[in-house]
Amino acid sequence: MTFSRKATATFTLLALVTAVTVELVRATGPMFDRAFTAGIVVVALTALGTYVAPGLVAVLLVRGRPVTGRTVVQGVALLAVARAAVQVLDGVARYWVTLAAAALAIGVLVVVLVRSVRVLGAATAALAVTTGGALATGVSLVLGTWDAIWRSGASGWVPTALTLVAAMACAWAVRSDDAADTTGARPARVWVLGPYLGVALMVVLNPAYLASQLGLSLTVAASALAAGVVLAAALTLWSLPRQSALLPAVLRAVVLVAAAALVLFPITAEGEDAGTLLAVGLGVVMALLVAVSTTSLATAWDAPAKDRGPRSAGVTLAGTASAVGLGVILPLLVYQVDYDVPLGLPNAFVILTAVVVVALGGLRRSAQPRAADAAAPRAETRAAWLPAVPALAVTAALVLAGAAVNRVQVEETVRVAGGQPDAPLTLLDWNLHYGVTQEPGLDLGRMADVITASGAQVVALQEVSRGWIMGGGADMATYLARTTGMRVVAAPAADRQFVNVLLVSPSVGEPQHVVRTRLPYGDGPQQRSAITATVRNAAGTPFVVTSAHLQHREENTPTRLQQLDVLMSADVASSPAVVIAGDLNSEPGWPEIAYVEAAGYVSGQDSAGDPAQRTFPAHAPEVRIDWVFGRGVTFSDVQVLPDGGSDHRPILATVHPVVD
Amino acid sequence: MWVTAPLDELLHLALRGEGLPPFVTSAELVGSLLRAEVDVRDLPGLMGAARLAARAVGTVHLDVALAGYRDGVAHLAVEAHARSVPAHRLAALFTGPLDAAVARTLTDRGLPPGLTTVGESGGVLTVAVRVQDALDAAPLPPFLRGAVVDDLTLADSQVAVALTLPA
Repeated sequence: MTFSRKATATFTLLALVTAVTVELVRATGPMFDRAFTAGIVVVALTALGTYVAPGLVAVLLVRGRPVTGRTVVQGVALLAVARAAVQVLDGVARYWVTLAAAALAIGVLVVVLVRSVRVLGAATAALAVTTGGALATGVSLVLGTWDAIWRSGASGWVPTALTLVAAMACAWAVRSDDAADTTGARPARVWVLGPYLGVALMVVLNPAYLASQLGLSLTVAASALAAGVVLAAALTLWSLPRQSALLPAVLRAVVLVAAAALVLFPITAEGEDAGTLLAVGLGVVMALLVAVSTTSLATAWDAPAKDRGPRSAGVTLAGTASAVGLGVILPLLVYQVDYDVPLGLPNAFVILTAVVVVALGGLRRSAQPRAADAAAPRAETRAAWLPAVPALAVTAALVLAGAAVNRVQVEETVRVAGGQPDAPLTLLDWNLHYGVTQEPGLDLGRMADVITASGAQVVALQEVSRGWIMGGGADMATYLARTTGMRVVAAPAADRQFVNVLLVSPSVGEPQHVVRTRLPYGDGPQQRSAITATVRNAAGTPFVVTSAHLQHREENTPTRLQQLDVLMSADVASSPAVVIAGDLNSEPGWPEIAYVEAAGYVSGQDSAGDPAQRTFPAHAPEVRIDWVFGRGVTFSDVQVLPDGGSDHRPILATVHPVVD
Repeated sequence: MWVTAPLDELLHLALRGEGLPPFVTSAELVGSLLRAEVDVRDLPGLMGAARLAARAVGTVHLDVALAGYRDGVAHLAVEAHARSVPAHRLAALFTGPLDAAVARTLTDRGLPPGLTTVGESGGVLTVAVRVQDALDAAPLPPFLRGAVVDDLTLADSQVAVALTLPA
């Protein structure tokens, strides 16, 4: 095989294995959510066990021998089987296989990376990792951010099959290409891959996170990521023939941390859209994040590790794989744990710390001979960049296609002149549990179908994810708006990625006078919020609708009362026809419900439905904690709908304004 | 005697008609919660790094709940959000400077020193306000001097004060 073909296969393989790994790590989010039902300690132990296990994978794969093409073939074949199995299975089997597949993926990725740096050089290998992460993002975007792994039809299996078959073909192509005298060479600081992937998954290559965090559309965020991948490639291209980076390492580290800080601590107010000029500036920041984090990887790996015997090298590789796994999960885990056991500081600092670790990992520029030099003398020439072209081109095309797919286009408002002033409004209230289902899995399609089939004109949603890894990284707000044809407004709750939403059908006009209310934190542990908007029936009669989610712990009654006090005292609550719908985490007979009723609100389910119907947990409801309250309105035909995939059941209500 | 008043009227009285300090851009009572916005860039006396940090922070959104009133002291629990960050969680790091800044602002307005104490308890920013001392130091008409504040509540977007007038 010529160098070019061998290098092309190596580059593409590393990108594909990275893409599969990124998708599988995202898939562990909904699995850990299931573990959450057993408590925070069980989640933490499960997560740590899963992400230490890549070390065991590396030991079993390498078995004390140097990493060769054959090792890579075995690893990729196992990974392909495991990845396909996750998509086939459901129930408890899917839970365990997903965790095992994520551990396997990280172990195989480390093994493939070690060989790839030897063949391609550090900079090109770093570019391949970034390309792979962006490839996973591109595929996800094309699928509306609802990953293939959760789908059973052609939309799920075609991208899966293409990815796995391509990975196997590339692995097969490199199976016998290693020079015997260099197979023991290993780059240093491979562990930097861990925090890099953690930060990439959560922020840098997560368009849903970037869009919700910075007040941008998913289309703009995805376009900026495509630019970032191109910029990363350009910086790599520039550095290859010169054997030096464009900017000094210290300056790159500063740029990386500063860009991350701008994203993690955004200047846009919550719910505020960034203007055009600001969006351009933020696009540059996002692109810089992608590019500069790639160069940090390149510098980190651009030196050989200390030479060890094969057995010792195997142990070291196992340790490295476990370190990578922990580097991936610790930022995500600690960030998320904050919502159950509050940290002593804002959890955004956890992610910033991981960025600092990546930046520090990229600071060293070793004076020792480069690991790649001996094995691949031509890898440092401009021609060595050419193998990146196919994977880069496909990735950029997918990300841009994904940007186009996720444009939300809502039809113009349709109004029938001469409607009755007392014409009713159909409202659906539903806590979506960030899209995670009982299977466990993520089923945005089923949830969108329930909303569409309900015929609701306004949908009050809680726990809507916009890039949360616990919710598989999906942008539910954009997905649901696009698939239901409704307009969406959202209010951040725990963070800007965990939001309460109102979906509004064009038949009741634009959502007007949108108010986002941050509810008092009280005893915690999560920040809660409400979103309010005014919609109108065909005759123009206004309804002020609020989607609210109150603090969840049973003993939180004082906090919930304080939160209700704020909701009831807000200006919008003084409007003639007011509806407050949501997960109030309060059961019939509790002081919270008495408080709301004392303020003049009537429960829709109690006045026009079956009060005995419960809403949570959806598969076998035990309690009733979801409510539709109204004041200045009456209700008819209030139903608790069947299990729709979330852990709560939806409530559908017909709301009539009281017209004098 | 209970005296009930909207926040803006009470602030007008307490601040002797001078209005809110320029760095407090808004303050309203929503139910039992005081919501205020503070532009920390306008805080007086910020120099060097503190000024740079204030520029980065911008506007801070405050939610102030009355945790209780005992022995003439109102105990407030404060949530602060800046740029989406729950800034009150960093309170333990900044209670000293915050305490000094609040005290300086009050004394600049002619109020006696030591009326407030900024602290932190279990990750919550707390402020103790010596309401009785503030009243004792106020230039009250003779028939009100010696009035005792027995209780203080925030409810229905109003401030209610229970007063015992001097005999």
